[in-house]
Amino acid sequence: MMKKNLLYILLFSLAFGSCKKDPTEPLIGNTDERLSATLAEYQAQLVSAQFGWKGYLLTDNKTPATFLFNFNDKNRITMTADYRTTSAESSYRLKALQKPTLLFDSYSTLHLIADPTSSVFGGTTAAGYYSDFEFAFLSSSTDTIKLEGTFNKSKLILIRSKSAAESSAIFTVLNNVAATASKIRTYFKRTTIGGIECEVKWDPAAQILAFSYLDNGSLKTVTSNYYVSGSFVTLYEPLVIGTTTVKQISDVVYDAAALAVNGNINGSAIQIKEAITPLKLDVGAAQRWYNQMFANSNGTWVSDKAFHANGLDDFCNFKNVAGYQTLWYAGPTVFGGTSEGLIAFVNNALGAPYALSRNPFGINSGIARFTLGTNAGTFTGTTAIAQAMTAARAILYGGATVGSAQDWYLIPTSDTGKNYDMVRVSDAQAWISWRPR
Amino acid sequence: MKKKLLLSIVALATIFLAGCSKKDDLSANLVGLGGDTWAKGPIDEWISTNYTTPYNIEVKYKWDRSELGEIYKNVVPVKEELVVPIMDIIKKTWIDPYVAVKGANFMKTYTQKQFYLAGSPSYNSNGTITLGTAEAGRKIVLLDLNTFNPANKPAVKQILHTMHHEFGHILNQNIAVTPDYQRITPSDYTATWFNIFRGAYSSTAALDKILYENDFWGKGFVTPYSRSNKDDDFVETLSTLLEGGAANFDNIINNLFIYDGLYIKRNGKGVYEQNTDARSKLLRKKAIVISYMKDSWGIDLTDLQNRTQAAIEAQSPTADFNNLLGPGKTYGTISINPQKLTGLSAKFLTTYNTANTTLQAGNPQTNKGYYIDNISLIFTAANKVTLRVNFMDPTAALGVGFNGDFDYNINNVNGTITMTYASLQPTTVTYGNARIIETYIPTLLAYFNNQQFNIRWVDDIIPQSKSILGGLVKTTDPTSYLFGTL
Repeated sequence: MMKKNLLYILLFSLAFGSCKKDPTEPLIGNTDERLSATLAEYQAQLVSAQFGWKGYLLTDNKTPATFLFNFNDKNRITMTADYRTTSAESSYRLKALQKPTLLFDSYSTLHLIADPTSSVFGGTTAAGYYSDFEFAFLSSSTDTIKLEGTFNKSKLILIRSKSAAESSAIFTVLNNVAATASKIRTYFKRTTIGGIECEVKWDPAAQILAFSYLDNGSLKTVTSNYYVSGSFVTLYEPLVIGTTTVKQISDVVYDAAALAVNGNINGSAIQIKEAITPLKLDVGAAQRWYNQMFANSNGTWVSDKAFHANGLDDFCNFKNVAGYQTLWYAGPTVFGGTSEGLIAFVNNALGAPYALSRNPFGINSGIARFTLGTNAGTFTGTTAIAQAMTAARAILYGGATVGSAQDWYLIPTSDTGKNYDMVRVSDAQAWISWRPR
Repeated sequence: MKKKLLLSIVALATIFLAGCSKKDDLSANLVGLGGDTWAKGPIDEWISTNYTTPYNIEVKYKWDRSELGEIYKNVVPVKEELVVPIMDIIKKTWIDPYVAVKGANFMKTYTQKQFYLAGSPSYNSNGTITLGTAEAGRKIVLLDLNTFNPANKPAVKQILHTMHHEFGHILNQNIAVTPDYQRITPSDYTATWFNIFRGAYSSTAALDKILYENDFWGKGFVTPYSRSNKDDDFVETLSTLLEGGAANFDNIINNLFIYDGLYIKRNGKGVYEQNTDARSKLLRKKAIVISYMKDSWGIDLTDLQNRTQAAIEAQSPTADFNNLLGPGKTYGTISINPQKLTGLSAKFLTTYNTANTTLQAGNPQTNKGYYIDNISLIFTAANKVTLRVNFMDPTAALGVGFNGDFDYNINNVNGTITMTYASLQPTTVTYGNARIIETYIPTLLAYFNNQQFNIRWVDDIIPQSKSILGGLVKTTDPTSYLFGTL
């Protein structure tokens, strides 16, 4: 009986005690109200840009894209892109997901690079270019909004356009920078940033800038994709070179007298100049390249774009050869015996004429020497393949007669050791990219 | 004692309830509560008028990843301009036929309440793609819609098949089909039904097709998916009847035979051995579906089927057969095998059978009792058709037999052709074969020679047979005709 009373006392005290009200009010206001207000603010900000927003997208597989977005207050948006300049209308809305999120919620130009069906716009089956169309807000100021894709983690930067002229020039400034970059005739490019001499790699098509510099005798490389907004080349990832942090290069312009590209980093003028030697030659690279050839499929290196020379891509005009696929430098697997040489792959077959190198292959102080051993097939004549191969032979061997020789640097371009650029030693104005078949 | 206990409990309960009357603010404006909002446009109005208002169905076409069954896939939204055409076709070929038969209230009561539309397929890690999913009669997700083209009838039918399939589930869940349905093929349901696909059986394409079809049709199932379980079997039969039509189902039945490798088993006179087991199973399933719809829902399946098929034809019309037939066109050959067809005209059959009997009885030394296996009309040029008589030697091993080719010149005026036996026949092997049998099959050759035919669909003879059967009907005698598979 006593026990039971005790139980009741316990229960009653529990009943009264449990009813303590918590008078605490959230100091910064109601969460839902704040979220609603934030979404409304973002929407108002997007709509407020009279000349639209310049959009710079970098997908998860590092595919860059440039857009011009015009948002209206009816959840509609018109856009153009560097890869499709025809204006198209679609819809957007702002939604509170895990973060405030901008949804491009009906199919648009932006979705082309996210489309998982590769027959639509290329890319990989099931993933496209690993792009997004749902973007969470990371930060925003009046004129700049930074977003991140919620699915593939693409980066999207929106910059307010200040004038109609700025909006209409959005794609031309990108092309102008690419044109400026390609005016530098040499493969190797040098600049000095904060007193440190740097080798510059500049790929305008992929919108990549890389700087390599010597750090206690070893070569250190920092790389970032970039976008072009107005007169600024802005890096997606700031790069640190010594004590200098490079976020953007402004006023990029070609200086014809100096044969260099001028620019400005953090208020200091820089000049990207031509160079004919690498900053630090990888002396083992030529031998590794040669050995790797035998390990590759068909014992060959292949190049898609063939030779760049004298400022021209595909200098030899392989594009005129009907059915051209790749240019090969192949070994005995293709030619038999101990032969190796240069041959074109056309319409799924090896084409004539072709040139064989003299054996053994010469490598001296990390520099490869190609010596012409045999001419096979008819190089004279007007067929596209004869003309292209004649030009390619002249570049690779430095001549058309047996015994002609040309020296080349081999520059590794991937961590796997399976991709190389080959650069002419004499002037660094001719080069070719090799990959395994 | 008991009373005291009761009193204590009442007291306690009162204190618990009354003591805790905290006043929470229930008027908070939760973000996203009540669904997403956006400025409505013409598409939203169309959906409201055609789906939401009349049938209380929501059609979501704006992107919402959470609506997808598998949210971790790269999928893109549907193109806005396709939303209305797609939903219009679904309305006219799925909702409207049911409404015409059972009234609008029936659909209001029983349809699923939500559609979600997406543009690309969902790519699976095993290399397959998902085209649609359904969740318990509540929601239907349709994928891969950006390739939608109303002129592409197979694609349109695929969407409708999904619709009729899922709605069949809803009907079946409200009123279950009688258990005798699942007793027809009780031992052939399998969880690994998805292993039934073309290419899984043989590297020889022809053999692979036979073994593939034998693994579901040959076991009395209308599709591979229907082998999954009794419920899906039932709704697959229902949806195939509605979406495919009567002729499609009959054509499946008419092609069920017992095979010996690549060839149908037969007797010495070329009479095929039918797969009577599978035929009877499929026919029993069809019969139960018909009686279920009648008894449980008061729906005449034939009526519903006619309306569905008419709606599909109206939405995605089939061109005249004459326009689709010929070299380089959709169809080039009409294959006529009376053992695989029902409904051929008596006049043609008499001709065919007479030719066959005469051939079998013909020169026993050289011809060894040859029988006709099938004939086909091959439209090789605008002004020529080849009558190919495929005949077999019963004393030889089962094989492809011999082809005897007879060329006819034709003059085609808007689908009316006159066939004239060509005075000059080529001399290659197949024409050499023709010389061997021509003396025994004069009735067959005469059936075509100097006769005028209309080249046309025969859906007036075999209902809903467009795109399955195409035929030739004598202009002077509409009761004399033949048709075949395409």
